[in-house]
Amino acid sequence: MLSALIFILQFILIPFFLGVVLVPKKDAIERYLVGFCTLLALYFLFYFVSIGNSFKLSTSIILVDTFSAIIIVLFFIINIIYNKRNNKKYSVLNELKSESFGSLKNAFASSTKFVKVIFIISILFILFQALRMIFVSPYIDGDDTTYGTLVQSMSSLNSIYNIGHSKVGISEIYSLDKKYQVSSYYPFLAAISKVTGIHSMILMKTIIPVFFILMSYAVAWLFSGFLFKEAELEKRAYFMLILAVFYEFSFNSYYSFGRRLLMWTWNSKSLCFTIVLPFLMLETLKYFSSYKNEEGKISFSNYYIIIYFINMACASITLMGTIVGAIMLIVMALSDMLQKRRIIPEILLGTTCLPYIINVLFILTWR
Amino acid sequence: MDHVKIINDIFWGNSAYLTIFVLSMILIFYFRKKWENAYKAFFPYVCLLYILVLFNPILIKKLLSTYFPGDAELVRLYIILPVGLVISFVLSSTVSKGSGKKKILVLSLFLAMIVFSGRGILETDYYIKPESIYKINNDGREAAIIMEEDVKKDISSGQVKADRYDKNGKYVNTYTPVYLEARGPELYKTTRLVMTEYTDGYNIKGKFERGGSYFFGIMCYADWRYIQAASSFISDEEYITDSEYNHYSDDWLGTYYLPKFKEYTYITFKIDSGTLRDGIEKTGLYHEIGETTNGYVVFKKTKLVDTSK
Repeated sequence: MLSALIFILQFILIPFFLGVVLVPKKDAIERYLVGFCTLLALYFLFYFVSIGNSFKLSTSIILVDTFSAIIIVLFFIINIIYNKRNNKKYSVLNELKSESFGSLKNAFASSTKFVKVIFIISILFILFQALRMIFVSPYIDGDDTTYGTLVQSMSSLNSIYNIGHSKVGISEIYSLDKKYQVSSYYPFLAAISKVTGIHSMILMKTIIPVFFILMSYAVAWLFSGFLFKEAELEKRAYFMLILAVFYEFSFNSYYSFGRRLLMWTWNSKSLCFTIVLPFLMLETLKYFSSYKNEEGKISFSNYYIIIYFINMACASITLMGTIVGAIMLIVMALSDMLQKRRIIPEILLGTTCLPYIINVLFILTWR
Repeated sequence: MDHVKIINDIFWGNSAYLTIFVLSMILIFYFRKKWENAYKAFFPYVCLLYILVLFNPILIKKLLSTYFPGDAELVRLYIILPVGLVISFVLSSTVSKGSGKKKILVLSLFLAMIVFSGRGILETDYYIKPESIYKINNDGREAAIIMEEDVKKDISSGQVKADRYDKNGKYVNTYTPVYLEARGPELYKTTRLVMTEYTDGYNIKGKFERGGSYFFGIMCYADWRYIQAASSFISDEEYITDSEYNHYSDDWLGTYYLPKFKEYTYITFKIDSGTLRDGIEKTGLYHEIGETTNGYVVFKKTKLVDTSK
């Protein structure tokens, strides 16, 4: 019971609270996703400072306890800021009542029976894909062993990367590849496992996949709101259904998106490719469209901060995320530059890539 | 350009989804005024991504391949192509244009097109029925528990030290109940050595077999305070089966085979017949401490050495 509560606090409530501070728009899904990326980014920052100073002395208990304390302090600060901003003495929990759910409810009520059925089918199909992960075990390969042992060893030895892990096993002490050392995602999983008391294998192979699949579709749902009008429930329902079926049947190749989503869900690259990068793309598109538009400077600067945190999260997850994330942003910036003949938002976007640069420098110079 | 083509082929698998994607992009360009948001979001981005990155031999071959030497790693760049989003957008926009029964028909056609162009996960053997909530091999888990309990017993009896860090916080190898080494393809050689029969991994004929692995089960379940992996390689020739063992003389195990594992506190085999089991016991070097449900036997070295001294 306590494990479940801690897990809910770490994985649902804290990200949501962080999102409430960063996203003014009352959209619970967007707030949650921004908050989750911010949580990963904060952990990365914390991990980065810790291991940079005293790598060999770092233990997961120190990291977990200190980070949890920071998060709890942050939670109170968020509450104070939020209460001041709204001039009301109520809990930030009230923000869970999202306005976007209200508009969705209205759109659903005014839709035809056919649209309602399609919408429900798409939701059920997505839930089926997510919940199926509880009852099946995706095929086991080298990655499972590498990262499974990585997390399990960190969790049970109460240490961060003090045992070297080669591709599919353990070779020698202190010989872990730098690209693994700079990633804070697996220590994050080990920390969650340690704090909740849930065995790392149950966490990674049963609980995390359910969450991540739903989160990936949540990003797709937000994308549908960007591509269509938010109230166009009919088109969005078709979009979600077609997308879910597409992912289910995209096992033509070994490296498809569907395979990442429905097989290696807990893997760092999957988190990066199926949740963080699509979300980064969406927020960057919103960032470009908010520049000098009627919503004014607040929205633009908000998106800037959000992109900064998402970039940090992306860099924290995997080295591949650092490279692919940077490439994606460069191409998106060029695309916007060519379309709108402007350069200032693109240059500003470039400054959000600082976490990528620091990460690469860290890899090149560390030890 | 060949290299680029290979990576492109790896990503798409067959040309069906590539065709649908290209057609969708053409439609987005054609209806660019109607689908303004999608056009602005995807069309220039995808074109530039292909021109500057994915079809750029200099970037792919010269620059990135230094850091990502394999095609399998470079193909990951394709994941930032918004394939699913583009296809779903175009198809859903097309469906919503229809009216009444036409919508149902068009939607069904599109879904059928996706289903028959692709390969569903349930058509593959990627999902397996887990043996437990841990989703690892149960025998491996049981073996890890057997070894863990044994280590705890030794620690409580004072036979070995439990401390694992010195005063500077540096890890000290006080007690190392090691059993396996795994590194790249060598893993399977080692697995072959330790297990007389496979549950998965590369089998003796070099064919990959699916299933929960005994070795992975131990590695992923073990409490690492008590159980760790070894740090030396064991060659392929040292693999042994029950039938092979029968060809050797009785003292072969004790004088030649088992001494090779002198640094291993535990070794574990799947033993179908009693011959090898009895042989190991007879040498006096190792003794049996437990057996898993499916016949994997865990042996412990009879004489322990404290490696911290």
